[in-house]
Amino acid sequence: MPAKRSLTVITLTLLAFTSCKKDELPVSPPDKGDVITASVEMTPSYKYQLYFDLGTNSLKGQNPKTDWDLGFACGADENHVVLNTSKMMFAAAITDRTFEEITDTSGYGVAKKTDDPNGDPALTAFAQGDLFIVNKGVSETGTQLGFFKIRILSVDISKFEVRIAKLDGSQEALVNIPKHPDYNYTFLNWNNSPEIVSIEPPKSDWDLQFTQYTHLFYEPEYTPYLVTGCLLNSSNTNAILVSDRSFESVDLAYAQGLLLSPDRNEIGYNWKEFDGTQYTVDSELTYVIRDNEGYFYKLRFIDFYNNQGEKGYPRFEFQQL
Amino acid sequence: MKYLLAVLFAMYFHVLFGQEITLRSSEDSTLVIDARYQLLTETGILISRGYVSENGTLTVPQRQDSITLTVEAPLFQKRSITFKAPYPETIYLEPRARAFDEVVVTGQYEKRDQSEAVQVVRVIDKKKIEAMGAQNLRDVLTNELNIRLTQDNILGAGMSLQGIGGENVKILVDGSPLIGRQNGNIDLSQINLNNIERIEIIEGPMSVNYGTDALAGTINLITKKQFEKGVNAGVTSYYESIGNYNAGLTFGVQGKRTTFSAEAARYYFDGWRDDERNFHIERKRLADTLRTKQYKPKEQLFGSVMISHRLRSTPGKENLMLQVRSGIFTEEIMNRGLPLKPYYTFAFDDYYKTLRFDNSVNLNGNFSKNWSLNSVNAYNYYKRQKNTYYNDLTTLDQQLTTAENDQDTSTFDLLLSRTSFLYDTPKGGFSLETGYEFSLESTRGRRIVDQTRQIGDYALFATAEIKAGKRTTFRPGVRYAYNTAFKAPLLPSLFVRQELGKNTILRFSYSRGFRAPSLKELYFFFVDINHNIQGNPDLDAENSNNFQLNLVTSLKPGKKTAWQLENRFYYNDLNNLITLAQVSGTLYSYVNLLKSRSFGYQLNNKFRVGKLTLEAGANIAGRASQVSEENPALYRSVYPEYRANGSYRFVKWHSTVSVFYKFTGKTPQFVSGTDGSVAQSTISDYQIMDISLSTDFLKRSLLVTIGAKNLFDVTTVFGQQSGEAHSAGSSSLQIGTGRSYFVSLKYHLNIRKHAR
Repeated sequence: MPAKRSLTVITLTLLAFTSCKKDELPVSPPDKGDVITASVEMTPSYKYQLYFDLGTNSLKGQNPKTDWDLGFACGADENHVVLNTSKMMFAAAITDRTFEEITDTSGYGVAKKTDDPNGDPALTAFAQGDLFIVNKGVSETGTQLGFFKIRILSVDISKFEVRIAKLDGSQEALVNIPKHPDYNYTFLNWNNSPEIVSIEPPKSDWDLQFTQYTHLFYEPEYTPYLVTGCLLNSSNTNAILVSDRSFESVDLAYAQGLLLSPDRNEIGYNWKEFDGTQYTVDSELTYVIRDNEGYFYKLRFIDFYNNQGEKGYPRFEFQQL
Repeated sequence: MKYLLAVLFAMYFHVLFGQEITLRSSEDSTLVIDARYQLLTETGILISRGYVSENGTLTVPQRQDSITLTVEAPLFQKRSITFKAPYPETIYLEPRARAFDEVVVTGQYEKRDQSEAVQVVRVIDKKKIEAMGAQNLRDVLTNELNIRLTQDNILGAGMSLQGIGGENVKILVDGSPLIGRQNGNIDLSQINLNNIERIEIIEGPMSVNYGTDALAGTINLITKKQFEKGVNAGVTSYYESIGNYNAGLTFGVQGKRTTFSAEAARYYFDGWRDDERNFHIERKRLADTLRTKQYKPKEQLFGSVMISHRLRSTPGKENLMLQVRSGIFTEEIMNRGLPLKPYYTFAFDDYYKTLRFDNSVNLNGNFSKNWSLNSVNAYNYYKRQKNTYYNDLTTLDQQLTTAENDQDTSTFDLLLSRTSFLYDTPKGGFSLETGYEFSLESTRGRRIVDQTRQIGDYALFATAEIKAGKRTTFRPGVRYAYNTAFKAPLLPSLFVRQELGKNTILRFSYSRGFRAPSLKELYFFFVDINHNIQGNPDLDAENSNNFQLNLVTSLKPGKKTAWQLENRFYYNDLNNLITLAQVSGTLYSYVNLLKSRSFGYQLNNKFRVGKLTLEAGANIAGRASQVSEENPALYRSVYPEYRANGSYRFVKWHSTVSVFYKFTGKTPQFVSGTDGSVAQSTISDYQIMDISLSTDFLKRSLLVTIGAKNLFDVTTVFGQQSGEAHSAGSSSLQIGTGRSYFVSLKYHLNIRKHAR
């Protein structure tokens, strides 16, 4: 019967070569030993600055990065002022005019500077003078936040005295900024009026700050650029990148033999790479950290995404040595 | 009882309408469908004349006296026979000796022989598609001269023609354009050949007829429209050892005036990576670092329905065909990501879903003695959706990610109407075509100003074919358009065909081509803290001047032998090319800045003796183009291509052996370094060779083809840095997936045949 034969041929032809999508089998989770895994939530817009303590494995504080503009050093013999580089702030020292003579941003463009990310007080923008036009930088959504002018009138062991106003001279105020010895900085926010704000936890409570900050690239040309990373507590936490051995083989004896870097951005931002679509964390990079109590830790990053696949959630492993 | 009814039915029709005669080729008994006929009485009085129907039949009235039937069809010898009733059921026509001719329609006033067309039209026929085991347009173009293919694992296969990128190649299906360009290119591997009868390629601008994007050339895919009378069913099945599993069904009903056809198919590819061996069978496996494939697994499902109907046919006067077609295509590409370090327990997986929905209503043919029309009306919809999941590989739990760029949908749609009216003088020698093209294209996407944008283009065009003497044909043409987004250029063209001797044809053409700025180039908007890329609504169209010279010489064909030699030169001068440039500060935008030229020479040789067909060709392709917008210098890159194809038919064994070979020579490439220096690298040469054996069984109803593709096992071709410049890393090109073996089954069944 030809019809039957045809049907057979048709069916055989159709079924001759077929295949369907193949599922996967789950892999088994890794065995991590007594290594601690922690993560912090900067969120995908990197909005928050977070303060982490290794000794207690806990988050000690956090604040929206746009909550402050300037930090005034609290050490009795310190007189430096830092910019909030997480907003890409700039300050221009003005030498050819008085506080009153500044009415707009003229002169700002050529003189603008930002702080060196290594935290050296001598390399801050405010080390250039005592009268400044300050650019408040940009918010996490890219909004320009405007300008103000400020003059450092005096510094002594217990306070800073500053004069601050809008560029047009309105909203002028004299502000006393007290030094709190338990803290690294006293923070000032200018929102058309000065306000002393509480930002960092006490300086002995934390080791690592997760934040955006302004990195200075010198190749191919000088470019301040906003990066996302990890800064050290500049008062007494130090670290060094280990280049010659794996995370597993770093031990106390090895750590004690290392010369630690004084730079606040020793850990920095480049433990991750962006390929245009996705961040990849380089877990080959191991850092040895000595915290403010003198303990050694080894630390490496293992992820930049949370369980929903959102960026801005650095996850890291560390172990006390 | 059934049979009795059928017989009675048939007799009844005999009395009323006379008897049907079917025209077939004497070579392989296939139907002859484009024939005109004329019936005269013994005394030379006209009884009727016209075109044969879709299934190759004509009706002869029952008469007492003898009648004379004259039949004329493209590619066949004219035949006149005088006979008396009872008339023969089938009349066989001898194919014309002009051995390499095919019928073409693209850019033509009506179906006509390739050799008679004013333009140079390249044809890839069904036989070649089958012998190559080609599943999609990319597969079949691997053997074409002057076409270079590119491969992107996500965006798919792109091409360049005459050294000009794929954004300037118009791709049509029965005259209606395909949409959905990603980065300018239409993914050629989404264009399946399941239901394609032949492919026509015209190099050089056909902008007068087809408007934008037809600057480098036009590729027109012609679908299968004719079937044997009755109900036809077909099944195809294909396996290729790199993991292609394709299966399809076709269905066609051929009535006297109406044809209905439908197809449905599933093409599945299980992915490929470098270390996979041939005949690797994909299994359920651990989600480890080997889960990522270089060529991504994908599944394509598609189907279409087509109805064509002869509206009116008064012999010699009216002959209007209406064709309605609707097709749907879906594709899902699965990109399993590399597990993230250090524990390899998480990965980002992307899924890319494409939907194409193409609809057209075409109306063609004569509506009076001297007037005919050709109308294409189409609505196309294209959607591409990207979804990214964060996959916990220890549990295989997937979560949609929330990052802004991870979930993205872009859609395009196009409403198009193109109608041309053709006037033919009764004497011949002068034909005039006038027409309009109306198109409305819109796009929606997250990174488009206002999320949605629309461009309208309203064009009028006219062409004429003027015969000056017996041997010369001129075809001037012009197109004028109004565009809602940019100033559309006036487009002239001139084609000249000159017969130099009995067997030599010279063709010259000048035509102006253009490419409209794409909606993305006009309205792109991507501004965030690190980017500032904005489209430029003031862009002009890219344009080109194209010159071509073509000389075809054929040996007067003998009974068994034929030979043809083709020489071709082309030159393109491209201006106003659009590029992304840093406009000011951090702002990047599109600007009309670049210039480029392309030029080349091609030699083609076709030879046939008995059952052996050989084809050999060489092409020198050159391009001189700017490397960056700051640097006005043109850098020249020239490379050769060679092709040699052959096939031999073993009549006794119903078998054909075919070989396809193409060599692509070393190709210089230029890259601009960050410091403005220009580095040259040379992409190595490579060769692609396919062989196959086709055999038919069961009275030709089953065609089995087995073969090997990419015999030289080419995968990635690398570039070698030459010169002193330091920047620009070494470049490489993905060419193929290495050597593979395929088997293809095609079974065809005609119900009416079996009933007999």
